[in-house]
Amino acid sequence: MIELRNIKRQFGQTTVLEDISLTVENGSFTTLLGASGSGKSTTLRIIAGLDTPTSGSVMINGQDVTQAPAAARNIAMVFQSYALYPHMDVRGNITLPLAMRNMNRLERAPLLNKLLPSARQKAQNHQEQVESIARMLEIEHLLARKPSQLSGGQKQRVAMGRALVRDPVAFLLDEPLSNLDAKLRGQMRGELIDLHKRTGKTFIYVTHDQAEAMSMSDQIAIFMHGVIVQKGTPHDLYERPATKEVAAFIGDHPINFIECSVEGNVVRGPLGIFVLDEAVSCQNVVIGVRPEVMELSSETAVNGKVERVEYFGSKATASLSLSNGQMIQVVLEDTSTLPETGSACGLSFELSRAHVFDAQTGLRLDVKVAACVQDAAAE
Amino acid sequence: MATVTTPMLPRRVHNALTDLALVGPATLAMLCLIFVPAVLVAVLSFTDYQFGAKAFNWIGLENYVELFTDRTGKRAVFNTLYYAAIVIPCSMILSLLVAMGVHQVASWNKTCANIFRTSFFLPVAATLVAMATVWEMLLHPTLGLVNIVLDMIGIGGERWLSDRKLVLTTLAAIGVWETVGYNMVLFLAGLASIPRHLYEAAEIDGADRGWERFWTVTWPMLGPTTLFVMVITATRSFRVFETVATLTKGGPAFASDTLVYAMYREGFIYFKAGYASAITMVFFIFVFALTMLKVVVAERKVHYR
Ligand SMILES: Nc1ncnc2c1ncn2[C@@H]1O[C@H](COP(=O)(O)OP(=O)(O)OP(=O)(O)O)[C@@H](O)[C@H]1O
Ligand SMILES: [Mg+2]
Repeated sequence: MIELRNIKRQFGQTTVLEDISLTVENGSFTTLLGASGSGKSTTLRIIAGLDTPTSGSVMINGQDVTQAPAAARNIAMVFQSYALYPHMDVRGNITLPLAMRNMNRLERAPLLNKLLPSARQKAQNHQEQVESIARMLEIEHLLARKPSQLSGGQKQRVAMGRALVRDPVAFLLDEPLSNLDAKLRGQMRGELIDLHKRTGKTFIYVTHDQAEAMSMSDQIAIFMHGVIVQKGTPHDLYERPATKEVAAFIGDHPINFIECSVEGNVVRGPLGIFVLDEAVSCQNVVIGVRPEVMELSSETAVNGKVERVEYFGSKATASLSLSNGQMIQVVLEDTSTLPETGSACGLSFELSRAHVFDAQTGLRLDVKVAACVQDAAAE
Repeated sequence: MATVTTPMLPRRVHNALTDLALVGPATLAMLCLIFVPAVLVAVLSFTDYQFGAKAFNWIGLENYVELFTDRTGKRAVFNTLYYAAIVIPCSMILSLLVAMGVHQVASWNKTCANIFRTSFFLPVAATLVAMATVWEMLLHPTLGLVNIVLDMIGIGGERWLSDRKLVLTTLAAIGVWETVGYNMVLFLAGLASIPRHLYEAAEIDGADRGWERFWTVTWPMLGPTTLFVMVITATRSFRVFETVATLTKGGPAFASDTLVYAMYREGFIYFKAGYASAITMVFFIFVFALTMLKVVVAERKVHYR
């Protein structure tokens, strides 16, 4: 189990991480998700031992390793830039961590290693391990190449190989797929999931791509400006986002936010008048409705005008403008008949799947939209 | 139908002419100023021509034979190689150490590192002839600071510049002092360009102590820089001249005579243009061999392609 306890990291005057606490269970796949500059890499480097926190502690299996050097933590890391040693061939790159751990200086010395029986024995042993890893990653035919002769995807596999070869406590991966093209990224994503299943190791994965995070993780921690705003399963994050920002970050389609005024439990806004299941104390709320739970409907009164329709094959999205000028996105599951651009439409949504946020603080309010009393055009 | 106007010249010829117009002048200048004189020197090296003489004789390889068999000639070649054999490794090792030190210091104090860097670079920026005067004063057998200090700590001083056994080593030491700053700057640039991620990967892989770090990342990544520094230092030490000319004039008894100084003496004092040309050619071959070495090794080995 890897635990971060109240980690704070400052560079000079700027605070990059503020009170980060996170527990990563053994064997889990945990993703640190956040926009660029939110402090994900810094957190990962602190776990790896490449950086020390200003305050707070890092625990690995109950031991405080905050001050321990990286090599003593037995953690493997795959860098975004792969960081392969350019002067070594693939075999050398994958063997290095083994040689560093299992051999002494004499056994590693360039000429001596051919003479020492212990070195020969170990080298033989390492070669077998390297080859079995290479077979698993399907890079056997590349073992004699230099990193400069590899494609991005192949480099990525070699970097994985270097991490896998030494049976570490955990794998840290810093945006390992971000340099690959979309198709290869999808494929590698699948392979990483398989790899995680097969090895049963702890994976800590950094990405800014929410789709990657959602599809791979057991646990996601969302980083924003150096704090974890929410952690939970992908399902939790999608269904119960803790803040407006999380709701906006998660999901394939950007969520629609509808500003409404509220009195007790009655909400008035551009989509109509709704009743909440409990009264709230704030004056304004924002209702978040994902495009995929909205529908164009002929039953409700007309309240939007279709401005744009985008067709993707399996689905389509429509952008509608409301009477107050706000744009709303709707995912159309049924692509057999698409609405005309310029036509007027009614809008409805699954009430129970709408999220209610305090307009001022952006925090989630623990209430549900219970009923629609009146839709907009009828007002 | 739109008609395409046929150019007066075929496209390929036109392009070729353009290229010629662009490279032509520079090539011509290079031919006139470098290639022709070089060929002239090569030709002269097979003659007994003297400056101002009205005629000369072809004497074949005699100048070369003299250079490699005559005592003074052999001395000059040997001395140059001896000088280079000290300066190249000493200067490279020293400058690498200094560069790593300064690089290390720069990570916690920029100002401090800048002071170090500037002071090591000073010999490069200063005129060597002026510096040679300073060295002459420092190394003076009775009045020089070096011997005074050595006396004080109880070690007898030496006649640094007039002892035949010592003079070349003294010059080589000055040569090291003179080149370390420049090489250090080159190594510093090399060190700065090593990606930080490689060090971090090495740290994670267990190569986190100084020695392992050096052999896993620093040394291999400095490959191109090291080769460049080596060629530069070698070229500079092969053409050592200023210190010899100002401090020893090749003496005592030719003990510090070097190729370029011999060339200068034979050509400009004794006006033996033919012999001086032969020395020039030998010098040229040294430098050419070095350049070839750089090209061959660099493209294969140090860029890891
Ligand atoms: N050594 C440093 N000195 C000063 N500031 C730093 C340093 N390292 C990181 N930072 C700052 O810390 C913040 C977080 O950086 P970090 O690399 O953790 O972001 P990230 O979430 O990984 O972003 P990205 O997705 O772009 O990689 C950034 O604003 C960055 O400028
Ligand atoms: Mg990062």
